[in-house]
Amino acid sequence: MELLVKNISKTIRNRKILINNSLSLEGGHVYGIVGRNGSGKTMLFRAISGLMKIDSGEISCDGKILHRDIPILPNTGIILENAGLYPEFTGMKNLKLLAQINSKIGDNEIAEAISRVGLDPYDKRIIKKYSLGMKQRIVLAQAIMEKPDILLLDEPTNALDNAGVELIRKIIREEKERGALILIASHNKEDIQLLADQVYFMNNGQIMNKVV
Amino acid sequence: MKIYSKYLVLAIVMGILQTLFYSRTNVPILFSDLIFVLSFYKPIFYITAIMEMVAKLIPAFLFQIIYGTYIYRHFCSAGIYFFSRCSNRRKWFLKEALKLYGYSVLYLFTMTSASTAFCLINFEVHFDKGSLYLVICFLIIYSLWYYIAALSINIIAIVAGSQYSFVIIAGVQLILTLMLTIFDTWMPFENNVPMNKIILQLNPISHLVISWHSSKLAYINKLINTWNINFSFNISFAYLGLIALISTVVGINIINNKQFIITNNETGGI
Amino acid sequence: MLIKTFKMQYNTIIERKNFYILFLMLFGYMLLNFLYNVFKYAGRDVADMYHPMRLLLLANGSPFYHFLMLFYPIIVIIPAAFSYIYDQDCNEQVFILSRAGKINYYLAKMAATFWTTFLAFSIPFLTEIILNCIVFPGKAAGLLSNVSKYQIPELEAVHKLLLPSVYSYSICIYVIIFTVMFGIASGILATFALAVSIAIKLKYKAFLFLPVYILVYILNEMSDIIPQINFSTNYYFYFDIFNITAKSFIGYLMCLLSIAGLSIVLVVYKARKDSI
Repeated sequence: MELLVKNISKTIRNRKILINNSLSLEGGHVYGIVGRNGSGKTMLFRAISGLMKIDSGEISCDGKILHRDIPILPNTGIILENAGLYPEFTGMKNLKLLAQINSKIGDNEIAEAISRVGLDPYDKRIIKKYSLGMKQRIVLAQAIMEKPDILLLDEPTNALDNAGVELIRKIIREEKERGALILIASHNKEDIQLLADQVYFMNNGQIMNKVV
Repeated sequence: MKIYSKYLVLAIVMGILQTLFYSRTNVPILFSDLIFVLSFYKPIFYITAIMEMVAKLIPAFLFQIIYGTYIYRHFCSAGIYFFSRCSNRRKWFLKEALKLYGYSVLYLFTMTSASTAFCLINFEVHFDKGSLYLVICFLIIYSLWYYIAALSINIIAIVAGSQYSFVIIAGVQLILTLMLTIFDTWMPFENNVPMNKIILQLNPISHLVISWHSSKLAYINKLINTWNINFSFNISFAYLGLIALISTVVGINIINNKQFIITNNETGGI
Repeated sequence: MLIKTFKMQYNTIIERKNFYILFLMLFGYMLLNFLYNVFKYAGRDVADMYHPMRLLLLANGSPFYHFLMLFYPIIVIIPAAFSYIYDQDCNEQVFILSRAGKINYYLAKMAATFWTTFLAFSIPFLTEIILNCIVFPGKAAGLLSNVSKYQIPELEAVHKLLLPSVYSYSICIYVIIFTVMFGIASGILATFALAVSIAIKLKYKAFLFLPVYILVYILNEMSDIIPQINFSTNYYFYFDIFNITAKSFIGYLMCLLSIAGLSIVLVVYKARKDSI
């Protein structure tokens, strides 16, 4: 699995939010993006995932160009800020509905993903009743349940307690060993230091340099 | 505030739309007739006439949907930040309710002016004696009704959510309108006029029909008082005023006791 | 992928309280009309009995019909038209878009909204047709106006119906066609409301009641706006199956197709834009 981002730029309402960014990413690695609030990390993720069109440049996955050959990145698990699930359904129900789109997994795999993130797959509580930490965990479960080739994780350890943070780090390591290409954005230095093979620093919409 | 002022454009559009049918007639228009057109005209209790009344409720519903969020919006985004600084919610709510009433008056005045201006430009309008008195009565009665409905929608939205609030209040208005048909089917109006008049007066919707009222002034009375129903304008003002007062008091109590468990009433979230 | 996304959207809509409460209420209301007729006409001689299809909720001018039509602009959007707003509120869109893509998401949502609303507004009334055929005598042929069907007023009334030739061939087929059309019209109106919510960001859910009410009002005033229109443009008369007010079948179809077309244009316009 190879993901190439070549010189992508994006301007919204005369404001440059992404400026000439390039990345070369391979499966089986964890890449970290660090930067201050408002530096453009989330927008970069939106662009890479295909949720947002770019003004110039190219994003390709295994030779196929996004928005030309493919509409979205194939087999991708994503966590974005403020993205949640339907509050009136249980965690299991939410994930079942999402799994229907690709129809690759069944109830067993969904239950396994929910258990992996430390939640009870048969919890009858609806998402509305979940705490912030539980919501973050169930959102991670939806990202990993279909064993994606690409994982785009924007602030995956937000709102989690220490045990939760350790669990998420363990899962990310396991996904890396499985061969997934993982891109993490975080302002938590420890997450990046412990997990990432390569780290990029982002500022004002631009990837400044690779941090060793 | 500016956003809600922009919605007054809707009043202009509604005012013009309601008078478009005059393009099919070639006779001069009496201003009193224009007031009747804006206030359900001269209905009787047959079902087809009542369904026409329902169609004429739609301009009112549009106002109620939009201004039904005037107070509710404070409970959507940044509600906790706003109310953690608001020491006297009762006073705040009363102020907002008065502003809402102001918008009701302004909306109706704009709608009536738009209708009048449209007719003056395109047709021939005669300002008959008594029509000014009628337009004032119309503005008072309808502003009170618009206020009552919009305030009720705001209050129910704060308690239960905006999608339910309009359904409930519109539903009540529709049922009250449909209930007028009992005077055609179960209790024919002409069979027991004194008793039926009292029952009819209990229905707030009936007070909205200007042509069912009467007046001690002969030149006004000859314009209205269809079917000899003889409603008094003073009673209509008092009745609707009382309902408005009750709604306001209920609203004050609800707002004062409101607990902020959900951050944003519209989208949820702890 | 489009079909799978449609199934996902369909399942999401039918699992919500909005849909099944409204569906149960319509079904219950239909049963109310049915039982009212059963008890009202129990024991009546076949020769004096009305045609079973004349006793349907959508087919007579009873208070049950009026009450339903009063609430129609409100209830038509309740089952499914809020689905996009619900997705936006919790931002679930991100997860669906990342799996299905934009075009599939919007098209599937429109299709699911149309289909679920169609089901909610046609199944109860189609069921009533079956119940009436079973319970009421098939040989009954009376009219609610108590006029013989061979008398001139009735013959003239038949010609004022939409599709009088179908009526003359088979009343049952005529009723089924117009019940299905009622479901289709409801689906199209719900899809229109959905399309407006997609194209324009609505701050409050209550605003979603505006598009259908404005549309219904403008259609109602059409005959005043355009003097050449000499037939009714009020939905009330088109949904009443045996109503003989002057109507236009071509006008009805054109109206539905225009609303459907406008909905598609609104959604395609939005699909081309970025969703941030």
